[in-house]
Amino acid sequence: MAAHNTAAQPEGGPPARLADDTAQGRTTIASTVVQKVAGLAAREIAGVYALGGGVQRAFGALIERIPGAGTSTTAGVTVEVGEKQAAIDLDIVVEYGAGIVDLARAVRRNVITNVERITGLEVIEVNIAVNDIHLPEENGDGDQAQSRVE
Amino acid sequence: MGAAEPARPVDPAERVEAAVLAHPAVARLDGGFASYLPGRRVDGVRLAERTSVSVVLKFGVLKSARPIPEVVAELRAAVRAVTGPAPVDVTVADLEVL
Repeated sequence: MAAHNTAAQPEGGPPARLADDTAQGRTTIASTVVQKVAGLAAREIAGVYALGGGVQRAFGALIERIPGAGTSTTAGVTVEVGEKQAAIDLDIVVEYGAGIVDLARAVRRNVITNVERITGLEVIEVNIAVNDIHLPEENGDGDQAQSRVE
Repeated sequence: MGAAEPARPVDPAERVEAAVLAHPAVARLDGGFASYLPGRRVDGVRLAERTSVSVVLKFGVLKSARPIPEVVAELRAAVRAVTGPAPVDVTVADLEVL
């Protein structure tokens, strides 16, 4: 069998791409899979409060960096998955006090390491947008309810 | 899983299903396509000139040093042990995160 696509392409559902094509059969990794791995890897880093928030830069995603690759977004993670490569955009909210430059570098490193190891795809870029900072007394998890006088 | 009673013959799709589910990294088969048998349907398995399976993998197992290509190669070998030499297309449709 030649390394050529014959029949039976997408099965419906989320955009999915082949990552491998051999005489023994094709391997397809859905973009949801890459999204989940990237999202979990980003959250692992201390100082990342949340993913998403702010306006997800949906229009930026219209510019395709990998020809023919579908783009999909969930909760601050946008991925484009091609046959051998993936590009990842992250929208993150950082904890107050975290050094953003160092934090972004750590997030990028962890995302690349995990996605490449788990999916076998080459990560060509990880763009990180820090769109908010989380202050400790937001969300009422501070001592809002405590009154100053007894 | 595969019907063990001899009353009904076990369909090849059910044997493929059992082979795939036996892998520790597989959470379940995905319902993107299915094999339709009398009385039941086997999600995520299609037998034609090519065999196709669609799986949801367990993130926890992958995280502890089992890359997807390795798991897929093992699944492909397990399925080919059941179906013979036909090419096996494997789709990783999703991850189950616990």
